[in-house]
Amino acid sequence: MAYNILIVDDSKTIRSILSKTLGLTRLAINQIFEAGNGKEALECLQENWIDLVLTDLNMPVMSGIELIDAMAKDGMLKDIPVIVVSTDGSTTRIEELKEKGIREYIRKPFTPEAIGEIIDRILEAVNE
Amino acid sequence: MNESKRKELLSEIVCKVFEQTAFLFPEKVNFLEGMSFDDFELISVNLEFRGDKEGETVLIIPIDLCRELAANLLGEDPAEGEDREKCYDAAREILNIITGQMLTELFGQKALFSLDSPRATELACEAFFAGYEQGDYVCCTVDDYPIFAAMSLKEKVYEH
Repeated sequence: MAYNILIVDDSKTIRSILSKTLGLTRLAINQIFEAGNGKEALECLQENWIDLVLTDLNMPVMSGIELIDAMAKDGMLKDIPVIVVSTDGSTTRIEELKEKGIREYIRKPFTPEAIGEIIDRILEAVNE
Repeated sequence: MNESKRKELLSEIVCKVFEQTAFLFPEKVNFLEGMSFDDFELISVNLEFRGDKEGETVLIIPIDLCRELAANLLGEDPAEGEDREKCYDAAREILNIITGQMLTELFGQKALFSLDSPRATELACEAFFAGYEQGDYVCCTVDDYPIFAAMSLKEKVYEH
């Protein structure tokens, strides 16, 4: 099975790094979608089948937390696994996000190995 | 943490983040020691944060170093041509990471902050030196390029 993955970050640099990192993993990837904020991400989610979302938190227009809340309220989107990739190192924030249902939290800077391992684990669990 | 220790921490984190993210290895130096700025076109990046504490971080680096930074981040050859947006974006992201690391080190893992989107602008050398007197910069160099960073914290005002 090949996956469609959505990367949400206002930094084009980070979107490119994540996209390249995904290409280096052993994941079978069908297509990588990109969005610059939560609003663009929701539009992408409405129009495309997405298997996994990687999102930043602090973004203009619509933040990552607002995106996660909007997905949780939508019956079609609530089961899509979400991984947060952020500079925020607050354990209070991470606990809050885990309560909202995110699968994993990756702090920037990250290594390609860490990203690959986490995504692998999450997608394997989803398919079991 | 007093101001001197905070500056020491900031320069350590700046060096660490450049190393980890872009494989660039800055060295801490005393401000302006043996440096010439005539040839540098600078970029200033500012990031405001609020939450358990309010303040701002600033990163000032030459555009040529930004080009190298962007290339290393993306695993590309440094662009020959002008791609300023890519340079700005790389500098913004580096400051984002530096700020996140600083806030955790200073205020602990329980503290909550909201970070604004970093803003990048060109900065004339003269303008930078004019502001330097009141500034509180730490300075590092990498390949003879200077990197300046500062963090300011606002005092909370309590109303009666």
